[in-house]
Amino acid sequence: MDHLEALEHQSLYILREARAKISRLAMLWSMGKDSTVLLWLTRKAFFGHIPYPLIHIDTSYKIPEMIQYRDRLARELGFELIVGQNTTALAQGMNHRRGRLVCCTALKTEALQQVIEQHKFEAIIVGIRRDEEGSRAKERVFSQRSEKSEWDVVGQPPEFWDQYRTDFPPGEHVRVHPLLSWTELDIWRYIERERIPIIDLYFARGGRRYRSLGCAPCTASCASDAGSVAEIIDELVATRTSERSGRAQDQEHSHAMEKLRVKGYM
Amino acid sequence: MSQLAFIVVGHVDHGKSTLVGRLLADTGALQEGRVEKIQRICQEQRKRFEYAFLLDALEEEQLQGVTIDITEARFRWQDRDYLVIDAPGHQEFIKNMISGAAHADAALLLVDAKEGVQEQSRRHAYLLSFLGIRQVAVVVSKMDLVEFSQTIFDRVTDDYTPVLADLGLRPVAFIPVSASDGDNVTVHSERLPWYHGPSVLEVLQRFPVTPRGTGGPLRIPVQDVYKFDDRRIIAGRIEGGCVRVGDEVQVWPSGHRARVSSLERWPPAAAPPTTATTRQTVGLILDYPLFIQRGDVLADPANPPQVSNFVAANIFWLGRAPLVPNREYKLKLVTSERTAEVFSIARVMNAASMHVEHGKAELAQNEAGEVVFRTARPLVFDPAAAVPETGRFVILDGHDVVGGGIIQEAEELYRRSYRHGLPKSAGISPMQSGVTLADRAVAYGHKGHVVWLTGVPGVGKSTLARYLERELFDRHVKTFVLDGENLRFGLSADLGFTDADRSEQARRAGEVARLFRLAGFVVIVALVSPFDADREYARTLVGHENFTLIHLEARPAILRERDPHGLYSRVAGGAAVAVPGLSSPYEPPVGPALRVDTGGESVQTSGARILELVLPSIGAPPLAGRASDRGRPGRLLRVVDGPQRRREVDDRRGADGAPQRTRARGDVPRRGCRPHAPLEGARLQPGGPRRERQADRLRRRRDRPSPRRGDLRGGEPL
Repeated sequence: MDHLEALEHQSLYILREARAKISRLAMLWSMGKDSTVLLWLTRKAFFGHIPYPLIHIDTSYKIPEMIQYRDRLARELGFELIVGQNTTALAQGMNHRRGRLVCCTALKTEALQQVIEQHKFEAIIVGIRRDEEGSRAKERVFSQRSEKSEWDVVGQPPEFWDQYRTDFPPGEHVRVHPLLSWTELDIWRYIERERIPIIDLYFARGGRRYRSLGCAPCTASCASDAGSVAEIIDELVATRTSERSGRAQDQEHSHAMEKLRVKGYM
Repeated sequence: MSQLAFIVVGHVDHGKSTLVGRLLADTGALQEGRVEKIQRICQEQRKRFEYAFLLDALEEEQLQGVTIDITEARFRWQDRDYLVIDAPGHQEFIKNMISGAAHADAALLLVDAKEGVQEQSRRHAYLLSFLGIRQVAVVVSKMDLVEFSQTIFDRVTDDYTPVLADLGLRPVAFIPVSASDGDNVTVHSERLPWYHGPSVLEVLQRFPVTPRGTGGPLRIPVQDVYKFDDRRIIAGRIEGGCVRVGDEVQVWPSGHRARVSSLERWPPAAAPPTTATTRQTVGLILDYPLFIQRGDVLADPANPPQVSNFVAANIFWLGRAPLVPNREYKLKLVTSERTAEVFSIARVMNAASMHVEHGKAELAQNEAGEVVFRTARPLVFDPAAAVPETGRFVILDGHDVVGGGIIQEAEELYRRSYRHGLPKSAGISPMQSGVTLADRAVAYGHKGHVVWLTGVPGVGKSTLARYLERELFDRHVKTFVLDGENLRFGLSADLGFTDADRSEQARRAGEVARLFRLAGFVVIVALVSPFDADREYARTLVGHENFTLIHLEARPAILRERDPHGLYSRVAGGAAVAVPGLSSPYEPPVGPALRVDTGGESVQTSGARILELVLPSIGAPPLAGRASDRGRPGRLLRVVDGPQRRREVDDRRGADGAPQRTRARGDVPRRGCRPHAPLEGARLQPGGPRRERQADRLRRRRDRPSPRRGDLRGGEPL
C-alpha cells in the first residue's frame, strides 16, 4: 500500500466511524480542492452514496464561479445541500473592512453555528489539514466543541491509536477531520490519480491562479502558469510559499487562526 | 513514496521543539510565510529567533515557552519524506504525547546533558514501549551548555541505557547534540571530535518505516452494515491478514459462517477486486445474510480470535479519578464497545520512577498496571503480540477516554466462564509464560486436545481410554488419561456420588483437562459425567475446537453382564445405590462428535474411529499406522519447520534487531493473500491422495458448527 492509498483508507475509515457513531451528521463543503476530495471520499466510503447533507456557508462575498459550480454539482449528484448565511449580520452591513477577524467570525463561524443549531447537527465533517497552519496541526481527528462551538485547545482528549473519541455528552458537538494527515501535495496527487473533477479557479488564467479559495475580497491569486493538475503538482514541489499566504485573515494577527478557531471557525 | 513518522519525546524543557525547529530549518522545509511569521512574533515578544516557535504555534505555548499539545511538521531529506511529531514534555500533557505517538514509526528520546535522566525521560520511554514503538534513538541535548564534555555524555548514556533496557528498548544510537547551534543535527560537528557516531538525520535515515505485515490471521472488525441500495454491504477495515472472494469467514462472537461473494468498490471498476489486505477498508457481500452488527469480528475460521468475558491487559491510566473496582467503565476495542468492570488489579507501576507496588487496589493517574477486566458481554480480541490492532483498547469513564490497554497472552483466563462463582482471591492477574501454545505445538509436533468419554458405569470408558492412550503414545503424542475413578483418590477425595458431587467432579476434571490441554497434551477424560450442562461447561473451558465429546453406549443386558463394580447387581438386589442411567439420572449428550456402541464393536474399531476424528484436529497425520512402522521416530508432523517460523519472527523484529515477542502462528494452516497461494504453516505429511481426501472430509465434518454455535442455516448435528 503506497502513501496515498494509506491516507485514503484512513480517511474512509474515519468517515465510516463518523457515520456509524453519529446520527445527525453533515459535511462542510466549500467547493475547494479539499472538500472536493472529501466529497469523493464520501462517495467511496459509502459505495456511491452521499448519506449526509452538505453545508455551504455562503458569506455572499464568495468568488461568483464558486456559487455556479456549487449549484451545478448539487444538481448533478443530487445530494442534500444546506446553504447557511448570517443574514442578520449581512443586513447590518458586515464586511471585511470592519476587521477581517470580526467579519470571518460573523459570516462564517456564526453562520455555521446557526446551521448547526437549526438542524441540530451533532457533528460536522470538515476537510482541514494539519499542514495548513499551526493551530490546525494541533487538531484531533474527532475534535470536541462546546455547546457554543468553542474549541478547548489546551484540554483536548487523547487519541490512542485509531480509537477516536466518538462519545459526547448531549449539547456538545464534534468536528470530524478525515483529511487531517493529508498535505496540500497529497490532495493534488490524489486528485490526479483519481481524476477527480475540480473547479477551474485553481488553474492559471493569464499567469495567475488561486491556490486557496475563499471570499473574493480576502483571497489573492498567485502568479502561476500551472494549467493542469500535473503542473500544479510540479509547482508545489518546488515552492516554499505557504498555501494560505493569499488568505488575508491569516495575516491579521500573529495567532489569527487560533483566535478564529477557538470560537468555532473551521 | 514512504514517509517516516517519528516523535520527539523527553522531559519538559530538554529542548525537543528546538531540535525539531532546527531539523526543519536545516532541511530547508520552512515555508516562507512560516519563518516571517515567527520572526514577527519574536520581535513582538522581544526575543531572539526561537526555533521552537515554528512548532509551538499556540499563543499560550509561545507566551509560556512550553509545548502544550503535539504538533506535526514535514520535511524532505535525500529523497525521503519525514513527518515529525513534537510532543509536550510536561506531565500534565501526557495525554497529548500519547496522541502524537499513536502513529509514529520511530522516536527520538531527548535528554538534557545538564539535567540528565528525569521523570518524563522514564515515563515517555515507558509509553513508547507501551504503545509499541521499538525504534528509538537517544539525543543528548544542550551539549553546548556542558562544554561538549564527553564525561557528561557518557554519564547520561550509562544512566539511561538500563532504564530503556528494562522496557525492552534498545536505542540505535546516543547522539550528543546542540540543537540551537546545529551540532550533530544534520552533519558531524567539529566541536565534538570524540564522537564518531551518526548525526540525528543520519539516524533518522536508517530507521525503516515500520513494515505493516499483511500476514497473520484474518481480522475484520465490522464498522457498519450498509443497505443503501439492493446490496447488503459489510463495511470494515482489515486489521490483520487478507481476504479473497470465495473465502469462508467466521463471524464472532456468534461463530456463524459464510463465504465472501464479492468485494464492493466505488467507482465501479471493470475488473472488480478479488483480494484485500491488512489496513485496507473493505465492503464485503456475503453469500448468506447472517445477522451481523457493528463490533462483530470476521475472522479466518482456522484461526479464531479469543472470545471471553475476561481480558488481561497492561493499562496506562490517564483519568483524574483513579481506576477502581466496582465501577462501570466502557471498554472500546476497534469498533466494539462493552460495559466493563475491574476484576482485579495487580502489579501497579509508577511509570516515572519505575517503582512497582503490589497489593494496590486502584490505579492512579499516570500509573501503569496489570488489570483484568470483566465485560458484561463477551469481548472478541487477540493478545497484542498476535494481532496488535485487535489486541489493544481504550477505557472510557462516562464520555472521556481515561486509559489505554494492551492485551496480554493469558490462556489460563480466556474462554473461561464461571458457572460456579467467580474466583475469591483479590489482586490476582495471570502470570505470562514465555512459552506459548504455538511454541509447544512446534516442539511436540501436535496441539493439545481434550477427548471426553461419557457414558454410564460399566460401558467401557476406561478400557477405551487406556487403548487410546497407548495408541497416541506410540505415535509420540503427549497424552494422559484423567480417569474419574483415579481422581477420587486425590483431587476429588472429598466427593461422593450425589448429583452435586458428580457435577463438581466434572468441573474439576474439566479444569484439569484444560491445564493439560494448555500444556500441549491430548487428554482423555473417562468420566460418567451424567449431566449435559457439566459436559458443555467443560467444552467452554477447553474451547470448542479443542474438545471432542464421545458418547459410549451399550445395551442394558451387556451392562448387567459386565458389571465391573457390581453396581447393577446391587441395584437389582434392592440396594440404594445411585447408578446413573439406572437409579439416578443420566442425560445422553445431544450432539456428541461420535457415538460408540461398545457392545457392538471392538475397542480397536472404536479407537480407530476416534483417532480418525482427533488426529487431524491436533495437526497430526491421520491414521497411517504408527510412526515406528514408517521408520520415522520422533516428530510426526512437519509443523512449520525452523526457517519458516524464524521468518515470521524476523518480520516483527524491531530496528534493534531484537525479536519482539510474538506468537508463532505455525500451529494452524494460514491462508495466503494471493489466489492459489500455497498453504503456509503446519502441513500434513503426504499420506496419498485418498488419505488426504479422507482428512479433508474429516476436517470439514469437524468444522461444521455445533448446534449451539450453528449458523442460521442450521448445521445438521453429527
